[in-house]
Amino acid sequence: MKFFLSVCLAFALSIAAAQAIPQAHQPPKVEVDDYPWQFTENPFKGDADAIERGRSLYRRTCYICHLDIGGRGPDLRKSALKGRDFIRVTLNGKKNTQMPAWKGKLSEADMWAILTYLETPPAR
Amino acid sequence: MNIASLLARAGMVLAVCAPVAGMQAGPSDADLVKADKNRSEWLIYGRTYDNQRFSPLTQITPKNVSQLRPIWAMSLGTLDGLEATPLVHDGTMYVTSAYANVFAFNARNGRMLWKFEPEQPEGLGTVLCCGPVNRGAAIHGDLVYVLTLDAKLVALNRKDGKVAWSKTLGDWKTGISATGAPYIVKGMVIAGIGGGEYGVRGFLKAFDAVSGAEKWTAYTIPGPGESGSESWPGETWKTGGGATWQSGAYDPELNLLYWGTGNPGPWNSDLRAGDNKWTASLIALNADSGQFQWGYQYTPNDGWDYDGNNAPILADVTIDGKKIKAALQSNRNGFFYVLDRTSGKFIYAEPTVTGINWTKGLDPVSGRPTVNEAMRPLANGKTVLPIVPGLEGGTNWFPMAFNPDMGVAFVPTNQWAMALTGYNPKDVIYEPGKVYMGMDYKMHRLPGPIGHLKAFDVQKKKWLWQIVSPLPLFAGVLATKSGLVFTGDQLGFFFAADAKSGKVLWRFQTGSGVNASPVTYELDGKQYVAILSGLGGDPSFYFKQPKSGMLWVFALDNLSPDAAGAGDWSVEEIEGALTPVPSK
Repeated sequence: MKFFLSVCLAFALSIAAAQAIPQAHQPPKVEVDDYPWQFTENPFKGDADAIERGRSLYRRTCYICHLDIGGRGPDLRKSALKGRDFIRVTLNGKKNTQMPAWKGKLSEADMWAILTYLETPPAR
Repeated sequence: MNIASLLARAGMVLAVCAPVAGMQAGPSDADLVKADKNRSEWLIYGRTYDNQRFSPLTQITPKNVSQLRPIWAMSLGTLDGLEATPLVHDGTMYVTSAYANVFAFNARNGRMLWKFEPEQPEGLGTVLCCGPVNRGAAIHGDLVYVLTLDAKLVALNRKDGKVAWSKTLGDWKTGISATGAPYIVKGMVIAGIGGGEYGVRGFLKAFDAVSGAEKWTAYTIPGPGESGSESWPGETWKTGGGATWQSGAYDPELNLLYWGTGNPGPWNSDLRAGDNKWTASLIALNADSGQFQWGYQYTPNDGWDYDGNNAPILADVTIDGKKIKAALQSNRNGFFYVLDRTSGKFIYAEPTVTGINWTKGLDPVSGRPTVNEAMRPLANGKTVLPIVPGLEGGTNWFPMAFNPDMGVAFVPTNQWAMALTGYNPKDVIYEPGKVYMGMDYKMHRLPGPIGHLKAFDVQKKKWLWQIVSPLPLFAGVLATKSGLVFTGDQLGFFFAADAKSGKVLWRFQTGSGVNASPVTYELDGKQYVAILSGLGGDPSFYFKQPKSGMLWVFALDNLSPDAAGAGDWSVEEIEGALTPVPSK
């Protein structure tokens, strides 16, 4: 949320600034992390194979804490985290909580597949 | 918090400068064998090698326990579950918190003497099924031992908490972790591991207590050609579970080390047809060599996650007129077992909860369960419910206590059910470091209170009384010679009951669920009772209640202001305190 707001603000400011201020005084681009992103957004929307892969991965990584309804961790189907925000938490974990960093244990593509699975309403 | 966590990541020892003055020699092997005669200290996880958690102290009695009051408390700084049993020796209390942090406190007034914070490798939480918890330290000679979540056995100097040596038990990235208290036997430290949910093949390792030299490894699952290997089809033994994540018990006369083993993996029992020895069992090993002597399997071909990890209580009892050297265990599967600890022979078992439906009953001679196949989940995508007891038990890992004067065991039990849905075989995939359960699970409550603390007369085979709690009981128990029973509940109450009648005589609201085990000790003629309070591990899956990380100590009388230890601090000693004004 903070990232989104600061990007918005920076964008708005840069628009305003572009009218009246020379190039050199443009506000700097806001870069929040230095992780080498593979995907800007979910590459697997509607991809049945990816949803299946995400389901299998979810059950062997996330389920033990999050179950299907939340447990030690929150219910991920009700999560407010979207897109890269979800991936970011999965990559880095959450400080001062039991949410670990999955960087290196799951690929970025794996994480997008899991997100796609979570965003697809369950069959039953 | 940032700086603190940075320091923690650097694995620094935070040495608080209150020296452990006049240090007595640490407990020797002989001291540990005689721990039962040591009235005032708590040297071993279960107080004594027979694991009875029974204290001979009698200052606190059913008549005066209502006057028990907190005399000091300490925040341990973590909110992710406290499951430890404190140890007390030479006026110092050694206790662990979540993340396997180790603390030494002045046991009289709680002043911290030193703290050790092991490094937490990034991503470690990916292999922790049940929280970053730790069940306690061990002490022997000049060293204090702790098992860390990334499967290391670390020996610290008792005096200052600095690392003496560290041994790796296994590669945590493959799912091996450690959450139990190490166990000292005959000059060796015995270490068990977790990872049954990650396809780890369970084992125990023994290390020389002084040098750390590795002495032996004992697998809980036999390899090809070894006795019992025929109970595993194909290569299933390699990822079979049987983890050893609790502590043990020891009989010095029989020279047997007893250890409980966890569930087999994956959870789908039809994918590993056979008894799957020695998962969900009690195993007896030669204490010197770790050689397997015998095993008793509580739940053959377990399909319900009924770990058998609790170390048994060793007690000499008379059953039906016969004197028995017994091993007692209250199991996840809903039964209280009495075994002959010389041979592993089944004596009898008694249901601890009602409505058990995974089995139609136990064979009266062998104790072998006849499974109710309708309640066995298979690798077929079908949900089986309601299975009683739920996978959390019955009785889970938290240790019961035994009063040998009365012949009565005090058993925390939970009355609840579960639904299990086995995956189709193509979805049961083994990948090192990923969960290998093959099943969805969900605990459900049944009508009525979940937690029941029950008193069981082992010799008369009679239930005497019970104390109920709406939430599950997930704490260890303490019994005292004066006829008291102490334990805690998930509402946050730490309480004392009359061992004979079950009447609750005293309660204190600690502020968070109690998932740890109480101890009692004596210093300067004053009896203390200590308990950790902090919900955050496995129990926190099932309900929302406040989290905390506190150590509470109680006695009959307040400390005098001098004894509370306030007067001898100076700001220079306090870590991170301000620097004086710099001279010009």
